[in-house]
Amino acid sequence: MSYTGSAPASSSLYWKGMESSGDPHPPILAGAQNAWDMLSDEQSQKHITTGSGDLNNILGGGIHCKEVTEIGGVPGVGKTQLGIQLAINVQIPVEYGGLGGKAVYIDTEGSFMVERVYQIAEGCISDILEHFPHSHDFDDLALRTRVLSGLSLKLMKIAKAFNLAVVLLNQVTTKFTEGSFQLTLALGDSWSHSCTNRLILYWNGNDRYAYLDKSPSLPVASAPYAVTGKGVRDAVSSNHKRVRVT
Amino acid sequence: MRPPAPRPPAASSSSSYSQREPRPENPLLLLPSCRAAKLSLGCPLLDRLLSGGLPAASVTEIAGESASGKTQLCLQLALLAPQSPLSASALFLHSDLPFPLHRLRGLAPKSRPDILDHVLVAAAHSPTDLLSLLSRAQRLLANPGRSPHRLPIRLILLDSIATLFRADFDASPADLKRRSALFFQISAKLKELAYRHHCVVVVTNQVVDVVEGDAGNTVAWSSGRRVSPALGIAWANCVNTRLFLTREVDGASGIARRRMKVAFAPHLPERACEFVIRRDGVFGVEPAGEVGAPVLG
Repeated sequence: MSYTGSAPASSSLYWKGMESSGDPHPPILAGAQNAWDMLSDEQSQKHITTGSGDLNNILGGGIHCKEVTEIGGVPGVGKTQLGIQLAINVQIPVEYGGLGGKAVYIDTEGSFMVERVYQIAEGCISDILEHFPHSHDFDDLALRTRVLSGLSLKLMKIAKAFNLAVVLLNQVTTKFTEGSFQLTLALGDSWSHSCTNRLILYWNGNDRYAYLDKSPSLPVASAPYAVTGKGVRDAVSSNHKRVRVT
Repeated sequence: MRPPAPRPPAASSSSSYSQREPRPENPLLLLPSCRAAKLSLGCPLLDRLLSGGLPAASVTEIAGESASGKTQLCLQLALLAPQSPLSASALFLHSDLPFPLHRLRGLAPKSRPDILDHVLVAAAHSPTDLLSLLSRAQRLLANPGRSPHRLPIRLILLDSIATLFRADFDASPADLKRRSALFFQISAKLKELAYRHHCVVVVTNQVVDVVEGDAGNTVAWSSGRRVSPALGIAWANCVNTRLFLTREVDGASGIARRRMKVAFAPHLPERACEFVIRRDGVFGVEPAGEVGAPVLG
């Protein structure tokens, strides 16, 4: 490694041949960031509260911005409710400890019911939402795989570039593997690598639980939650129930 | 009869991929029209259970064992649609034979002899039959000018989805995959009809016995059996709202109690309402001796 004569002290590293560039400190790789800066960014990162303290705890404060989180579960367990709750909670003004942000809700199922959104917003502080309905129908598997991987890359880029939390609600299907039918998340193995975090919603008897299945920094853990008229909240017995890590 | 709105040319029937750019909408502006866009069941108690009735632009499933009231409810809805603010014709697709024409005529109000003009009936004998019927419905709704004397179709009933998949499919993985593919195709067409033409879509389903260990909001007791709607999770993912009709014999009095339960819905809490099937239709009843019935586990 050599330093040009006119370089300021140490923090910039040059390769020979870069002196002719107009920028006195050309970075080695455009867009790269050093690890210290990354760490301090991460520590000041904000989270979107889910409405349930227990659920926030296993998520390290809430849903992270700059990351893609997948939430999967059987029909009726509360994916859409949580999605709408997050779309509302991201808008909590900064003065109230929120992010003062906006949400884009892309509904591919037809589950986005405005009157419910209104109820949840009335249960919290409301603001303007944006809603895009559209549907896709893929017969060509190769095309579908290309679209999915292109989509996941785009989502990660957008998440990082604009400091957004991208939340994907995914359905559960049964797959025949190893001689029996098992519940798996839809869209297959290649998709499962595309998300930074994964939260699975499931039933334990008549109670709803969330299981943090994938996270770069947090341990796997379960937490109970409830869906009330006002939206997603802690389960009624949350203070007394022992949370089991499976 | 309202004049047909100007529409873009209908998309090709084999794919529901929208050719137009999706438009973002402000939900606050949608609120007044969406509150009005519900089909009342003709009974204030059942309407209260459903916060007004069945929503348009959405697929509602009514599941229950045989003789639980599913078909009766569909016939009732078909006759209510022309009389409601929706002011719509009903398209009744049936897979169980024969179509209960007698019951339909018995339910029709004497004051409106013309009402049967607004109920279109077609039989589907297989999943492919159904897909082709739905394609025809898409073309029919896209060209409303062709039948000026009839109210526009705004209610689509399918009774039942389960019958179409009883024969022809074993439990082998390949067959289940083929079956799921058909569910998605059928549901895509139903949802496209629901959104594009602001229709109320109702699909009835049968039930199957479930083993111990299954839990959650889609398992219930009916006639002494622990049951769940048929066709599995794959089909459950295709509907927006699931209503469960159950029947339990009260041990003490020996009276059969029927309940309509909201198994899941994006806009409704999980609650239930007792109902009866009378000669003049399906109606909710106040639970005997209880105010504010608790939600069934």
